[in-house]
Amino acid sequence: MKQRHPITCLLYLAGTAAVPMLWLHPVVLAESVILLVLVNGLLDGGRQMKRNLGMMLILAAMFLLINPLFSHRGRIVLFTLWENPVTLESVVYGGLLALSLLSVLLAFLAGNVYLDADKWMYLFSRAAQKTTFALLLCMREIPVLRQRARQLHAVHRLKYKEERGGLRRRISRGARELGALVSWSLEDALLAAQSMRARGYGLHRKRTFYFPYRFRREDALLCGFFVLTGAALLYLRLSGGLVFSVYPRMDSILWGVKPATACLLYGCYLITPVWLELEEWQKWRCFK
Amino acid sequence: MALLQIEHLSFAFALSQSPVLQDISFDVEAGAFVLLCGTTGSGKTTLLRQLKKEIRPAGQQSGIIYYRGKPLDAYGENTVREIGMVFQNPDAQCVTGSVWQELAFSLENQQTQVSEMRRRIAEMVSFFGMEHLMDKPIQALSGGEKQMVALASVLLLRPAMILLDEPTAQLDPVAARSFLQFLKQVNEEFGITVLIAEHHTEDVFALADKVVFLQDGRVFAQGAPEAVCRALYEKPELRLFVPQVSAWFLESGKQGGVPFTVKEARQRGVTGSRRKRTAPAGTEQVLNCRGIFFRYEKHAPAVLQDLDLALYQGELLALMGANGAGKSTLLKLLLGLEKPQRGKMKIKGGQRLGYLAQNPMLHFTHDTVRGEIYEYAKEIGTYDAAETERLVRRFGLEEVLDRHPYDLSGGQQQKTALLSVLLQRPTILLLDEPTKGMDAAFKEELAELLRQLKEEGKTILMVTHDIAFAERSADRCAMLFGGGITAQQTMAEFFADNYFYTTAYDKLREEQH
Repeated sequence: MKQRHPITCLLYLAGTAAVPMLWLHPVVLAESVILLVLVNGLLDGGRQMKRNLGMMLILAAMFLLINPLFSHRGRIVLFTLWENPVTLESVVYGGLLALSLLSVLLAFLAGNVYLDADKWMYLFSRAAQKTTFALLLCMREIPVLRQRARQLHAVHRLKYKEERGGLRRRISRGARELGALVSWSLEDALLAAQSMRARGYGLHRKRTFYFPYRFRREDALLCGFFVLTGAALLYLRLSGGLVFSVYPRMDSILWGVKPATACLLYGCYLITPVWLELEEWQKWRCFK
Repeated sequence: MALLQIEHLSFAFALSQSPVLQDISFDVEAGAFVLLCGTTGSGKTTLLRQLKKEIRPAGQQSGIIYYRGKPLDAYGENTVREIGMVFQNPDAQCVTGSVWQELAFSLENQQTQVSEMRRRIAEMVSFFGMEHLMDKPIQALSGGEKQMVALASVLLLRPAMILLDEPTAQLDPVAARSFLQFLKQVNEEFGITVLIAEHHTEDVFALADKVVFLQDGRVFAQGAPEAVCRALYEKPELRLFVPQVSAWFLESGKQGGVPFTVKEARQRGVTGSRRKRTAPAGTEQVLNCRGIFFRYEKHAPAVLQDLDLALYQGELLALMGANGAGKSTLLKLLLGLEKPQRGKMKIKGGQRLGYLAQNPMLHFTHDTVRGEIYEYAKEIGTYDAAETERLVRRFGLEEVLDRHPYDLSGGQQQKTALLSVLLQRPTILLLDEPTKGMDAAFKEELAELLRQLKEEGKTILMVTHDIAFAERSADRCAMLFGGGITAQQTMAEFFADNYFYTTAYDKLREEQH
């Protein structure tokens, strides 16, 4: 998925993020979460998931717990908490919201891997040339600033061996380091500006933008697939019968042709990165 | 007709009385590899900037620069493509985040179409052998690789001439050597004219077709490397700029061509000499490391493994080793900035550590040199009027007291930083590559300063790549490799026992074979 053209990636991201947001159906959402966990695991070994697991679970739990506490709609009352009825419907709705949030977060975590900064640049550059370039320069500056700050901190710590930690002293120390960081960065910025001028920056008003992505046949096929699937899902959704209404009365989880088709289509959509990988893997095996 | 003809060029910065360049005249033939060298402040950088219209500093210029027979000012924007420039600082020079963006940068400025850009970058990357670097962020590259990317970015514009302003100053010797070799290859294979300003004359004299030496803004000597070498040798104060083997040859008074490499020196039967030094008397250990084991992160490879090091009172120990071998890491451990996972570090009671970072700019916290010294001394409570005065005079910083530290030359910055470290009253000095990017004259000054500091009883641990400087100042040398110290001997023994990583003197000795 990482090697696909930015537009393909964007379409995929749009689908995986939009569906859970707009469609609160338990089967769809469950499918979302499971498959997105799989996709995340595939894309980067689940590293990002592990790092953000705490935050994600906390947010999901929040929705799950807060909704029943504040929304008392629904017919089936489970128990009463502090003179307020806690209904089954609101618990279920809270659950759906939690799953929806999880899906969207997972979708964007995955998006982080296959839609990296360079691809976003490309997408933006179509719209705003100069802004994109300015953003590019800012983005490269951030890790540099971090490195410089670390080096400065080490040297300043040795230069001013102040163990006493009154608030005023710490603020003045911090200000001194910040001042040095800014001065140093400005000096380097001058050198960078010279380097840019020396290579002709500013000579012409418009610049072209280089991108190493080619819109290949696979991209056309994938985009076509995404658009068709998306349209089909939209049609199914609008034609009704799939909306899982919780209020005022909860539906039983109906099953039938339409819901099954929708889930299948959506599943295919989600699983695209997985079968792209499998395809690659197959190819290599064939070569051997 | 020469590619570049400079006639009676003089230049003074705006708002400045004294001219930086005075009556400079020389030619550069097409396809030549010309070395521009000189003392610090002699105007090398300013001269190069005059040749690049886009970054010419404001000021009064007189004289004419002819490029391909026409005055440079008569050209429009073509000079951006025709004359390219590579700068000294590898970090500041690369403005984008990844390698392919940096390469594309110069072409994007020229409004090149994407297909043409793709084609040029493809051929460039293939020629340079840079495929493995393409997807890396620039931050992840070493200094040498960054300079290669900068050079590639300039070459993509297909220039006729490249100007280089001390491109190897911030690089370690291995990277510097390979960069210069590559530059020579580009010059020979494609006939691209190269005009390079360098301090590091040892390597470049052998590569150059022509040398121009500047002193105080005037041309002191120009011509074939041999002629300039002889002219420099005549003046005692400029003898430092002559490559080591050439100096020995001229000293011996032999006839024939001046050698610039060890090979040529051996062919001429040159043997070197080494200055006599008194051995240090200290046998007390002031610092001891045993079994140091350190890694930055849990799953990272170990940087230091089972490292043993001892430092004795009043000596200067030179710690040498490749880039990334762990020398700076060891210093961090000694300073207490990191803690080793295993091993013991003992510092004798009452000893205080002082640290001079690789980049002197890290040390500056005030707006003037005066503030840096006097105010800082007052802030940390070690101010002593007489002693501070003496230090300032000894370091030769009286004239620059009211300047901003960033406006000083490299050598003056280094001295200011070292002075501010001395104000902390350390007894052990840890120096991290103090001679990086410095010219021969500064190195002499520094060697003398360090000798004086040793006499006052200070102990010095110096991390360095500079073999010649280690030979000049160190009492003992140690080599860091594979996470540990592989050799720890007196300077003479260390270099005598080495075959490759050694001084010119040892390379020429008869016993080597």
